[in-house]
Amino acid sequence: MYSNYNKVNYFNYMGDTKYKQDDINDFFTPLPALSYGNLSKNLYKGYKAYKPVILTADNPLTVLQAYNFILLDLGLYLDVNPGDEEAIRLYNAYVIEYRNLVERFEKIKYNIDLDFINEPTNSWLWVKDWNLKGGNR
Amino acid sequence: MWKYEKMLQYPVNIKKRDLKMAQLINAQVGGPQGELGAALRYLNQSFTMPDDVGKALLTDIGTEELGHVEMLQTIIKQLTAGATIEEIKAAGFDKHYVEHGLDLFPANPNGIPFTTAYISAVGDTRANLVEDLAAEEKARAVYENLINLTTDNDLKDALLFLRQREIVHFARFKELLEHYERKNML
Repeated sequence: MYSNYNKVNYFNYMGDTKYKQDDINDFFTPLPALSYGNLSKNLYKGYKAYKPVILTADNPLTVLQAYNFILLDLGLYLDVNPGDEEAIRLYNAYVIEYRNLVERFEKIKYNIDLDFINEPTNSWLWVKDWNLKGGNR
Repeated sequence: MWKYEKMLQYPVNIKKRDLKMAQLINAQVGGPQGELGAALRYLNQSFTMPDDVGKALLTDIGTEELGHVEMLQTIIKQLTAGATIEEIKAAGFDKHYVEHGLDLFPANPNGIPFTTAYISAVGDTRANLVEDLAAEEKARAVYENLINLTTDNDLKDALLFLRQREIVHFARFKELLEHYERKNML
């Protein structure tokens, strides 16, 4: 019984025609990626006629969320495709842009504390900014 | 180790109070198809994945699900903040209010509390991963049910985002399963 089970083509059984393979040439940029909820145009699957709002760069926090998101989703892609050199290059490029954004954001506006590496401080900024509009609770 | 970043994964800005919807959204916090279950399921399974690829993916997706719990609880808080007693009674939210006030609580819309009976880890990688795939599809369906029940655009956008994340997670788990099939590690 068990040896027959192993011979079954498991993935025909799964019926996977809905979810196509990612194509790195077909990735969204950060703000559309966050708006659609995924990195890859191929994987996007809308629901009925609903169209999600396309987020804009009006609020600098949204841009930060967008870069954070694209790094996360690209990270998931790289978890299962760890040898994809093009994707790694893209990831590294986004990391550099993200770090610049974070630095500007923290210096100008809010304390998000995306890393333990912060400048020495006179007051404990972690307790600030827990009510950023559209940003957090 | 867990680190917290002081921002939501996706911006949430609900402007209109809706206690009925708040109660329904709780399905995806404390219900059987919800994000808290998903987070615990994946994080729990991550320890015994056959290789580092599986450990990485399960940990990353489990962590993201915790971020989704946070998003949903933020939504519920915005949907209920400032509610009057009259509104609470009119929406049937009094059952939640009597035990929790306007605090949040992981339970389903019928008040059934969250339980790890909603998750599995059976000592078999293929079974665990197929459970993960099923969980993602069920969550997607529940988000579609929720989207069908609301006319608030702010809420709809957040739910569409969360729904699409389920689709992406399904694709990644499927790739992980294929990875283990190729390596004969199932």
